[in-house]
Amino acid sequence: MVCLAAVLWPAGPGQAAALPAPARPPHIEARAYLVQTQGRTLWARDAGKRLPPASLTKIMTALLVLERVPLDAVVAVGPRAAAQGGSRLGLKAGERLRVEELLTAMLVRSANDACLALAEYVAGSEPRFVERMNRRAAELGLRDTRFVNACGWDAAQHYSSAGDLAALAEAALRLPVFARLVAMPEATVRTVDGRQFVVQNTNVLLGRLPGVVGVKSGLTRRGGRCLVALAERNGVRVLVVLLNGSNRWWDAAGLIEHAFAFPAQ
Amino acid sequence: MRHAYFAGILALVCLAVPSAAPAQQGNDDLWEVTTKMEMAGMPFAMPPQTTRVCTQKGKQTEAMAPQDKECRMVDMRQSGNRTTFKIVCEGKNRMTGTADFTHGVDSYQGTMRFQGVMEGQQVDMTQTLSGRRMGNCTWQDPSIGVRQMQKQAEDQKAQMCRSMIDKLEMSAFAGPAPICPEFNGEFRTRVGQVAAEMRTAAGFDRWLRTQPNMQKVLQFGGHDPNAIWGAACNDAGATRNWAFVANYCEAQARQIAMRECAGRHGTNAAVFEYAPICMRYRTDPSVMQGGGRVPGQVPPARQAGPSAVPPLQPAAPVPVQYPPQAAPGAPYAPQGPSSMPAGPVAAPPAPPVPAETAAPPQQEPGVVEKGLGIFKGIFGR
Repeated sequence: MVCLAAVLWPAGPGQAAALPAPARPPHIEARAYLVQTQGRTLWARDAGKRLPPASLTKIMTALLVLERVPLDAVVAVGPRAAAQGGSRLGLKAGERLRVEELLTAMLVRSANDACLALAEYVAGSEPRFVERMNRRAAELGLRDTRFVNACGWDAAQHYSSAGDLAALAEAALRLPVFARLVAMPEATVRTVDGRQFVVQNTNVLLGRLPGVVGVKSGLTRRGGRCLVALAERNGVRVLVVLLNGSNRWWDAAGLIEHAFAFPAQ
Repeated sequence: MRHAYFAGILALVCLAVPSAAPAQQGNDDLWEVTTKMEMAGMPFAMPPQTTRVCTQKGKQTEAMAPQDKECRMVDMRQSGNRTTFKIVCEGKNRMTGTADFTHGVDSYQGTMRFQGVMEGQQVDMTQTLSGRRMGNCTWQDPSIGVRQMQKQAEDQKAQMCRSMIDKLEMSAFAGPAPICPEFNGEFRTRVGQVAAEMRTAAGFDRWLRTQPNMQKVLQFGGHDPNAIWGAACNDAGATRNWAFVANYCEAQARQIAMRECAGRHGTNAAVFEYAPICMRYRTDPSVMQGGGRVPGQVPPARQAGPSAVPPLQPAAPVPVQYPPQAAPGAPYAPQGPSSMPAGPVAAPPAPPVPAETAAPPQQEPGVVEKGLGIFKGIFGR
């Protein structure tokens, strides 16, 4: 492997060697990925491949909620929502929260109970909400996307692609509330009755890699480690989508740094 | 051959009539001339041609002779309003001609007959001409037009050569048959400017992508590509451009990887800044396992074998300006040494590590995070 690395990588100055070839994008271990700068695709692999998006699904959920209901509407958490497993806030059935609080919990903490509570509030039931999700996906031209549930649980016909997720993220980021929430490294979520939760953003790049302002992480058994990350530096935007990655934080950080370092590509 | 023969005839006819000058101002004579040609053995009759020509004042007769350096007018005689002369053409197309014209105040008419060889074929051609003075014009020496064309050609060549200079196209200035040798000095000056730009990380990468032959270009311009490469690596280190270091500066990248990446997992927030370097070496056990960070110490340089490159020591110190400390909330607040590591380098303070939560951050729908113990161990320092 060392010998191979020596062959593949330039030797560096100090030797009487030819100048190196221009820098190439780093090797990524994700199943599919896409990197865009200023909306232009720099690199991609299998950007149209249909893969489980895990909790990246919640981007669509948030988009629909923000487009349909006011932030200060009060939602009562239903029993199904309160019973959600996986990543959750720990809400109780009947507990009441404002829409904005539930959105915060869903986007920052990736809380499934908050997610389902919102879906049921908007459409009356999860299946009806999912219908709206798929209609909205069609409106956005997301041809490789189909939803079966509101929060990203693995399911046979629940899929999206790196390209579609980039488009979905850009659509959601046009909403200032969405952009604000996904950029919060941590937040305090409050119920109407005064209970509060301090939550950390599941996107660990926030506050640690300069310029990162979002967007959403995801992790399921079939979906693997997923991420949509957005970084802005000096007016330049870099968007990274990783699906089914094994080392998403280094991969995303490396891709972001590479995109900023070599804008001429 | 027959095609060339008729083309030669047409050329002779055209040469016999000076180029038209459409201007109506000036002190010379503007004539409208109609020419009809007949040739023995010609399969078709050429229709009469009418054109306007400007001749020097009072010299329309001389202008009727073919304006060809191989043709000359001889034995001109004038009697009243009648003028006769002979035409002798030497060279490849040897011909003789006779002309007979009568002149009015503002008109003339007459004939010219040519006999000889044109493109290897016998020619017997008669031109019937009539001319009518239309007004004034300004006659231009045909040689001026030639000089103008030459100047235009020189300007175009200069433009092309300067374009090649901008693009650093060495082929125009070097090699057995350079097309722009007189611009060699300008090219070398340009190479010097580019060499200076390439001493920065941004310039190095940009020019490498712009000109695939950059090594030879720099050498042709008298610059050391290796020294320039080293300066770019120094600049990258000073500006903490780790993506550049990862791609172009192996010696430095390897040192940093052994110091910052070895023994760490990709979820460790402390290494995000060095992610481009850590990604490059993450499957290299000689770095990731053999390095390892001991607080307060820097791992010794490893004997990596024949491919090892010693840390770059610039021949002269490269003066580096630290970027100003960024305001809080700004994207970047770089700190660090003034040059690439030639020895121990103080690492910047690591960002705060997130506190453990009751449930792992990535415990998302349907997954029980395996290896929780690994995360706990790694998040500690």
